[in-house]
Amino acid sequence: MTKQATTARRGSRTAGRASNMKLDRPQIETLYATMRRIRAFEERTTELFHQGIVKGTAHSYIGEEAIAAGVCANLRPDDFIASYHRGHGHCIAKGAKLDRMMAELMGRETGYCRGLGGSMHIADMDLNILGANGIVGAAMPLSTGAALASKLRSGDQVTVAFFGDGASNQGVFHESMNLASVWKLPMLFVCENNQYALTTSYRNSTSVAQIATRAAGYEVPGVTIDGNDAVEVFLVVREAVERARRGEGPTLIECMTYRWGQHSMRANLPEPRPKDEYEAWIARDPIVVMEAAIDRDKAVPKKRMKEIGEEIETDLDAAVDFGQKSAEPTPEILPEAVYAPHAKWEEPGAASTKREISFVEALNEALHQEMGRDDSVFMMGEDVGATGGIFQVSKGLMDKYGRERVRDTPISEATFVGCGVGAAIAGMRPVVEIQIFDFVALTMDMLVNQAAKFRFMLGGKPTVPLVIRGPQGGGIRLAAQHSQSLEAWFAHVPGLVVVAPSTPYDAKGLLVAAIRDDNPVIFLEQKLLYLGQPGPVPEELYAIPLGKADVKREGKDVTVVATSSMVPRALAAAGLLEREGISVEVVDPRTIHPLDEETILASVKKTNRLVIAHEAWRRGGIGAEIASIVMEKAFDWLDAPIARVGATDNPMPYNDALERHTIPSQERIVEAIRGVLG
Amino acid sequence: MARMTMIEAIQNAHDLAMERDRTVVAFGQDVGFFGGVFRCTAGLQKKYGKERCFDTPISELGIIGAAVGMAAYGLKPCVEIQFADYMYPAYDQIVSEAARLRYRSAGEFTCPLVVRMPTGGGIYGGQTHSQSPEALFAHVTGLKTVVPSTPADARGLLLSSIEDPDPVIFLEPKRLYNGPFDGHHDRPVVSWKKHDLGEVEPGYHPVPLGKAAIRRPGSALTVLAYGTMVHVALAAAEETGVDAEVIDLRTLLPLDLDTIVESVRKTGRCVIVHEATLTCGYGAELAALVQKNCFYSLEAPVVRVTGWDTPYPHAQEWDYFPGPTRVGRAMTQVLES
Repeated sequence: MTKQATTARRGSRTAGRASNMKLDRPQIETLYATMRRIRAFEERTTELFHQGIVKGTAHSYIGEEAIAAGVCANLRPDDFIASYHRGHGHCIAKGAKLDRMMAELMGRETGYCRGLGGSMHIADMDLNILGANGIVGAAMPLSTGAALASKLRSGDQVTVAFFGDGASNQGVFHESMNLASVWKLPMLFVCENNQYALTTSYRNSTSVAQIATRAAGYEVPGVTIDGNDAVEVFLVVREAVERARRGEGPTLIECMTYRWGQHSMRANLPEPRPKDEYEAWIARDPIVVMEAAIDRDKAVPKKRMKEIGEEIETDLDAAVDFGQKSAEPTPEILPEAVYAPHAKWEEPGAASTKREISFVEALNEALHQEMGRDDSVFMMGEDVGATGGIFQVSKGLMDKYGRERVRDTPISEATFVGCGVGAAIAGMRPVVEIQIFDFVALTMDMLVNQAAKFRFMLGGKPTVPLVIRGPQGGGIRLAAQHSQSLEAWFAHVPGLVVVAPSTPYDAKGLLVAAIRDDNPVIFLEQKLLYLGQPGPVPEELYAIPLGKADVKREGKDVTVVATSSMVPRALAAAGLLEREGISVEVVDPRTIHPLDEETILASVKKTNRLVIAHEAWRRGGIGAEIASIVMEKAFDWLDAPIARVGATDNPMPYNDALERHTIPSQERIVEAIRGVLG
Repeated sequence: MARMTMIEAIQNAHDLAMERDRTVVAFGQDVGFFGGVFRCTAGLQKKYGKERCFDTPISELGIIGAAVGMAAYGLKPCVEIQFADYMYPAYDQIVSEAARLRYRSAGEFTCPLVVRMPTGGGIYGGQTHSQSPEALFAHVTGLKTVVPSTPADARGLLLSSIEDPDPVIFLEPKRLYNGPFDGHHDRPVVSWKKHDLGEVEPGYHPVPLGKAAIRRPGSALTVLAYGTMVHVALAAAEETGVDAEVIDLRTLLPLDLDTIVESVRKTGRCVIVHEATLTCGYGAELAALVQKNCFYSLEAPVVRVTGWDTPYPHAQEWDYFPGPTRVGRAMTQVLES
């Protein structure tokens, strides 16, 4: 154990003994009542689970009540908390209503998430509860984002990330601790060490005796305290909250505790915990510990304690009744719960100007103008600040808008993307650069399970206005881990918007639209286009509607749907074939999801033949989806099988000739066109 | 002939492989002492010791990363991700490392690794315990993707996956662990132990990767399905009386295109069923391949029946799930169009 943590621990023990002196009666009563409320809620939920009224599963907080009560008693309504699968207690302590919680557990329309979330996703944005979370450790990156949002707005809200001992072995714990320390974020890491991650003892799976000692590696204060003593928790957290509000950065507090039940209410697992250990902890029931202290100091009259119990029972009866009488949600609510509406923009058209700039300059101009227009827009990523990004997309932004709004990040993709998600939820409009899009694989949980689902899990209320942008694709000899085209992954995930511009004009207008959109947008910039010719781009600020394709060239014999870097190649192929009297229509979807089916289908119904070209692998690519849609909806118009042109089935080779062989060429597009005409 | 649940069959595959080959190791969260949350590795630690079957910290990225290194240096790790939904923190290790190792080293290193994970919904698991992410793997060159639908296949395909010299993603439909669930969630599921499809021949019998199985021969239309949806499709065929040929793909990659093409050229109609979301799902690839290879035999558009394009909803679980009613309706529709 580090000296710092040992000292702090000793200090906190002293605080624990003297604790009652420092709390006034209303504070003690609050702590006690909150614990009782959580206990009773969990007991009732367990009954309902066994009756089959609460389904799936739920994770009981019984035995750990002192932590939620002690932590949240220090928080203001506008402070943020983020939680994990064992989250009922945190919500109750932060002030959530039992009836709406109960309705959610029963999957009802009146629940906090309209029945779309269930136990593992309960949240209330009005109370700044960012929600329970089904993915171990995910609360931490999200919390860095909420904390960053209050820092950027010069507010003094603090954010508390709750997590278990198991989560301290996830990479995002370490990344988040580092980020919070480097940026002095106003937050608390509260580790509820109940000593077992499902059935695995933390002593067998964690490199340190106490998790708080890990704080030293990040120059963050770390303390281990008695998590079954609500007063001790309250006092230690009070200091940490004050510290965070003063702008002095994060604190890691490890609360030693024990859960009474199994991992989940399903309770179908063999018990790994030794009997004597179990019994010793049950004897230290946090409510009994509190009652003993109250009794000793006569802090709350016996009569009042009895009343508290009665009030909770009345509330719970009403909550169960409310849930059971509430209607089930209907499927009609689902689409709007997945996506916030997209704005409708009028675009000026590329022909409206003669000024020509490059693809990169167009992106850069969009960022400059949007940051100038809206204070909530900020940017972060690796080397995006003084360097301006390795492809210079953010050039000059730091000079103009400062280091707070243009932030260089540590190399921690999962966490800075999660930070973006949290900041977006908390009201900012982050633009996050992934230096090379292949690195996005490290952030998939934050994109798939967090960004894409957040609105839905919370019943369709919150918005996540986030842009994740960066270069993808090959063509500059960067080989297998710096050259992939990955749009199909994102297009398969409901909740994400996927944009892939092919011209400087589209790049600017679509990036502006992406920043203003209230959904998480994956914005893909093909590297081959960075190298392309300048094109006309209006100087004024404009946005192109998401989900609207552009017919880049009209024709009548065959339709080519081409995306991103394949658009210039398809146009070149069309030019070549025109000399032979073959008339090719080139449609660029511009947005991969939502896809403008209407424009594609109208074109195919005119030409009766379709070739799809993209730089990504053919197998499982977006071309498969487009082919399926066309076949389903224009079957009787098709005169030939649809052809797909995509990368060959191998990672990107380094060798120049092999790289050119892998990426679809103009010749391959020509060949495919001839194929469908033949 | 013995009958086993799919859980027992998977456990048995581990046992057979570990007994036969000392380089096979199994690990993951709660896999060792406890035998896995679904009990697929029960008893292995006791039999083979803590060196060959062990618990890991909650660190999916670490689990896969360590397994890639072990595989490169001669072991055959068979690792469990507790729920498929938890694989995202490890996604980079799967797609950038495991899938690339052979290619990047020009064959000098291989990655004989199996990543097992329970998939699919139907247990009120909500958005983060119900996903079917197969399309995210099937798009990645260098990986193989397997989805069994019976205990015998689960065992046989897992044995082949462990033997395979390349990384295999082994997706276990969790609704099939105990019985052939056909989508009628309001009826009790017959246990594999009381079902003919639960029969598993004792001994070491690998089932080859890349070979589909025709679960029901028919002439009116072809149904392409895998995992849970095989049983849903069989139920739908019986309930509608449509003479459907039900093909169980068993492995998505490598795909047995020949069996599919032969069937669709015969029937002229095709319905594709999966539980994953529609857009850019594996059904899109199948539909694109079918129209490409059977264009002149198709008498109706290929239809996809899938989960909705939403996260898995907690409350409307059974509306999201493409059950026998929806599949049956699609069959009738394809016959009428």
